[in-house]
Amino acid sequence: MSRIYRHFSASWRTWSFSLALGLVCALSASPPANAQTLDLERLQRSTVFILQARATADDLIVTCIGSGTIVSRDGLILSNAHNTVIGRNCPGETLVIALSVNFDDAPVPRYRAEIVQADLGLDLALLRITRQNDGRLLDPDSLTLPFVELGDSELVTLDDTLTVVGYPGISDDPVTIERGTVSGFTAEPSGGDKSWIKTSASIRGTMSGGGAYNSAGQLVGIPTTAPLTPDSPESNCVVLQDTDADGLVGITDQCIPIGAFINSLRPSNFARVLLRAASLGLSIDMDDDAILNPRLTGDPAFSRLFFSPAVNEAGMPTTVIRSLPTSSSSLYLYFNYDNMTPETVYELRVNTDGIPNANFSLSPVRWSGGRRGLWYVGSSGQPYPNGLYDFTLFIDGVASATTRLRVGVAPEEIASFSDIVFGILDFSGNVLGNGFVLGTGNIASARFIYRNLVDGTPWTAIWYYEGTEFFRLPDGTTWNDGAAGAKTISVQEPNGLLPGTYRLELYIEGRLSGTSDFTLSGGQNGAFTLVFEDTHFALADSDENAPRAAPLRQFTAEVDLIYTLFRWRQIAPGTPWVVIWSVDGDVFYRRVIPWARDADPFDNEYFLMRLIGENGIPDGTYRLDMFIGSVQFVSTEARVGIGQLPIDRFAQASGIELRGQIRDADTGLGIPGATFFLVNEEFSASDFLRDLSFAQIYATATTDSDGRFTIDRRLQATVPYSVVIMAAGYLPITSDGVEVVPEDSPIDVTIYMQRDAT
Amino acid sequence: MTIIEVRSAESTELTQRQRWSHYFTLFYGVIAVVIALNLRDSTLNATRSYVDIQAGIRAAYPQTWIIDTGGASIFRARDMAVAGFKTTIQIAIRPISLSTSTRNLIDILTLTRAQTLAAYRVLSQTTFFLNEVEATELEYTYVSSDDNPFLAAVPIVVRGRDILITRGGQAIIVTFLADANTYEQNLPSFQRFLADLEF
Amino acid sequence: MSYYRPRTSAPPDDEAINPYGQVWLPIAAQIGIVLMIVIAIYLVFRFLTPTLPRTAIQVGDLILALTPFGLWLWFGVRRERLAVQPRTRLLMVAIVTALAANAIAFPLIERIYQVDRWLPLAPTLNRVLGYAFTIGVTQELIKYVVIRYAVWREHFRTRADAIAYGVASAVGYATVLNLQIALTGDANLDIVAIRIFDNLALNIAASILIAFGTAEMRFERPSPFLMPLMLALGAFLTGVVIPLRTGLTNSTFSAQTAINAPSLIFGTAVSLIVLVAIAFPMALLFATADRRQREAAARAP
Repeated sequence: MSRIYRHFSASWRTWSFSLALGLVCALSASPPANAQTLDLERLQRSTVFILQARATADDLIVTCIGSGTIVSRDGLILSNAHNTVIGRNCPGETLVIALSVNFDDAPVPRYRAEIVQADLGLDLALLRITRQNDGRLLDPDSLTLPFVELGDSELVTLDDTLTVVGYPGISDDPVTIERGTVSGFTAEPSGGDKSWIKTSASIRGTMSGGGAYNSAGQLVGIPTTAPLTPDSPESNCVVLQDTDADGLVGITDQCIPIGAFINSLRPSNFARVLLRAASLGLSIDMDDDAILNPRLTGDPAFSRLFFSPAVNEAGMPTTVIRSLPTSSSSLYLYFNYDNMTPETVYELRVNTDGIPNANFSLSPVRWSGGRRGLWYVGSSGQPYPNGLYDFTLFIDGVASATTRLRVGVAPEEIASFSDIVFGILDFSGNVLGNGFVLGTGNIASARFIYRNLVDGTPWTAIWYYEGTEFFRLPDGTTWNDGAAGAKTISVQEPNGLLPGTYRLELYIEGRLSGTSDFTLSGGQNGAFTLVFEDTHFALADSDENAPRAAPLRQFTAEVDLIYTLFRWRQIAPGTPWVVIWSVDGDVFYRRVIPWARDADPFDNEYFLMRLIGENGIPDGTYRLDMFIGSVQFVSTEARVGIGQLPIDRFAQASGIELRGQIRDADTGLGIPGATFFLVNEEFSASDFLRDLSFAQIYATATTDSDGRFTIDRRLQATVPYSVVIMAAGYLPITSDGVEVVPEDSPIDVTIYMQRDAT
Repeated sequence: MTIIEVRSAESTELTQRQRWSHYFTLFYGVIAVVIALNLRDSTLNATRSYVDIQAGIRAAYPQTWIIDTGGASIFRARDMAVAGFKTTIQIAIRPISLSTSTRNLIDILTLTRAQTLAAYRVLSQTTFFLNEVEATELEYTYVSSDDNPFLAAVPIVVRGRDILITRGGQAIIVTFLADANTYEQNLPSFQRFLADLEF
Repeated sequence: MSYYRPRTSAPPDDEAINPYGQVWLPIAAQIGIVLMIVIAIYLVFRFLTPTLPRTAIQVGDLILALTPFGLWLWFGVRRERLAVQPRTRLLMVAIVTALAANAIAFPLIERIYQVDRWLPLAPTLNRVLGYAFTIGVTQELIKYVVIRYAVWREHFRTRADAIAYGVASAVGYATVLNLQIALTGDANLDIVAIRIFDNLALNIAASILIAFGTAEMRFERPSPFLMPLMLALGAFLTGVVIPLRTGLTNSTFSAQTAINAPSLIFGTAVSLIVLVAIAFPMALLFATADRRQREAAARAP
């Protein structure tokens, strides 16, 4: 008996331990209490496959492919620019949109689209569906496509979960979902510290242009990679069609460039600007001669690579370093660039102790800077493990420049210069001004911090104008201002310093220790620089009459063209001039434009910008901000109509989706052509049946040949709708007080209707 | 074995009452048919009035149809209870210049519709008088399909009839659209609508 | 083959009084068996939810559609031949009614009246009147005309004959209706079973009213308006029951319910109640009239 007892006792202990272990595992595997469920089906339906094609006499030749995401119910699609905008690598003029009808099957071409907004540098494009696939025009208002909402990409943090949706194949694979986490951020001057979101998800090249979603199902990133040109040694280009009609499919035929695996996402906030402009039908128009398109003087090239631990508010390095101490989490690689265009593909590969480090690399992407200048790529907030880092920059797949840096060096107290700012000196010797944009004059001064310097140390300062050295301290200049402090140096030109871009480089013992660029523009107005003046809005019937029109700040509703005029002072051609337009605080236009006009206007000459509304300028408060570099010089507002944008009742992708099937109660077969009405909460089903007015309807759907339907508008939770279902020959079904809850979305119902008399 | 049933001889002649009872029954049946047809017609032909003072239009449309005045046309009524294509009557007003002829208007409509409607084809064009106003009748067909790309909707051949009237600087286009299979059956609804139409 | 008792001995007392076949018991048996079949099939499909191949469903539907006719042949026609003085034209009446229904009633209802187009969406009163004057009158008039011209004049021997021939006519009409359900679509057996019972019960109930009229017309001297009145009542019964049944069983919509289906079994209950509500009083009326007739015959010199 005792043996039996012992046996059972041991068994019981074993079982109870196993049970406890199993419970622990089950509990730990269950999702956290506040986890939200993604509506994956909506994300998949909203993801499209885009084929760019070129029309020949009797065929369409596919030239480029990629993924895209529907961001409005009337057919706006967000994707990349490199595979949609006509260019050297993608010469097609037709965009075909394919949708996933069945998730297990390849996408089905359904529509044609046109580009409404594009930013080649950011590699983002907004398309609008305009035609059926057979070429017939479509009324966008008739479309009720599933779409996604843009989330705030600034709220994305390290280790956040991401769900990436796109098409991994060349139109033969169904829509695919990949999961990963945020592994870091890459900084660039075009977007600051979160110019790119890095992810651990495995994203194939053709998924470029698709969507990356946060846990709430909002679009926070666009997987982006630019395929290399077909003649690049590392290009991946696939031949699909016999484009040269020689009866063979081979290397003589046009190939479709496919990007490599992607680990970088364009933050969705960049797309918000394009989306707002497209959905409001707004555009900003300037004369062609307002935008400088400089001629290229050679091949694109990078040079003068150096590192800085931080970036100041003007995008300039705070200082120059040659190593990083342990536990550093901020590093920026600076370099000069020249002859770059938005079609140039550049890439940064980082190796740590000879091992590729994807976290700090940047996969091939389009160039988003200007033609010539100073650029940086870096990151902050991410710890750099100790090791020897090799940084190699590639242009179109070819290595262009390389440098290295060791992380993990003990902090050294080496002599350094940092925090260079520019301005004019007052009588007390203080440097006045905004720090980086000076008015034209005879003298420009720079103030900088110095540390750990020893008197007698050789140092020099070199000044450049438009890349050409024009002044340097005499050879053999030694330091004699002490170990630490602030110093001011100036450069003077008796004939006046010309407007344009300047650079100061500071060297200690022949080693670059500090550098910064600044711009000379405008005239001096006391301590301030005056670049733009007499900025105002006006209504006129022609460009010629606009300068004579009276300035206005209030415009009536339904105006479709507003002129913005201003005069300027001393802006050199090529000076980066930033124009930002916003309505009700939301930016809808942002461009960095190299100045193309003369340095000064003629008498009575104004610069004209046209704010155009495709269907009339919507009511709202419109603001124009203008910058030179990063320094703002103009902020002015005008109101249209009531001064506030109307609410777009369809703007929300959130809500509950209702769909299902209506069947015959006798035969069980689907009823084609049955109509499902959702009546607004203010009316009952009997009210609707009495009045039969469309104005009472919240949404409606008609069944297809299988009796299936989908309500074209999402339902809101806890709103008591009324339902009326009608079909010829069947008794109508009515119901009041129909409420839905978000947890049930999407709601799939089967409704049986019976014939009145057999 | 044969069964012989012996019954008292009864007269098989009908009595007057029996005869009249039978006649009344048949008469009731005939009356019932008439009543049924009247009920059917009164229900199917029942109308609801529509008045648009701004546009200067007064019309009577089928009572069971759903009215929509918020879209591109100033008036649209659709029979949402039918399967397939929803029979539609709509009125649109288009601004035209004084020199625009009916022929020009038809060309404009044809060009626009050819861009947006699949297999659009004009069948016939005739001139007639509608309530003492000269009008042009345009018959056409096209193929309609559900806009939802995710549903398996079979395209439907639609037949349409436009009544075009020009007055002042306006063209009034009264349109009737129905599934080609039920077009003739639904046409009387449109003809009654036209008869009651005032502008 | 018929079997009759020899006439060499005195017939039993009940036979002398009632040499004709019974009518009410066969009706009850028929209805009872069909009801049991309906309930059994309903319970099987509700709790076991079997999935049958399409061929099996089609064959099953056909069998169910012919079940009331088969039961009527057994309880009505076959047992009738055991009577001393059987009714000989039951089958003919059933078949002619079925043919008339198919040739006249259905085309009239579907193509001329087009009830599908206007009645389902009409208000309740319009639906009652509409069904009464369309389906109701057509249905009962066809039955009346067949009975009136085929058997009323020479084959109505007792009031019970009116019931028997009325039921034959009802079964014929209902069978054509049921075959229509079975042969179009792939309805599940439970749905077909319910529909079959509904058709049978309503047709029999209305036919009992017609039978009363024809019997009175044959054996009494009623007002000439009685028959039209009974026809109208039978039609009105149809006009009331159809909207009542579908209205009570129609599904509602709930977003929380994955399947929103009508509760057709309640329609079966309605049909049964209506049949019982008509049959019992009418049986009483018939019995009273019969007894009055026998008493009058007994008093006659």
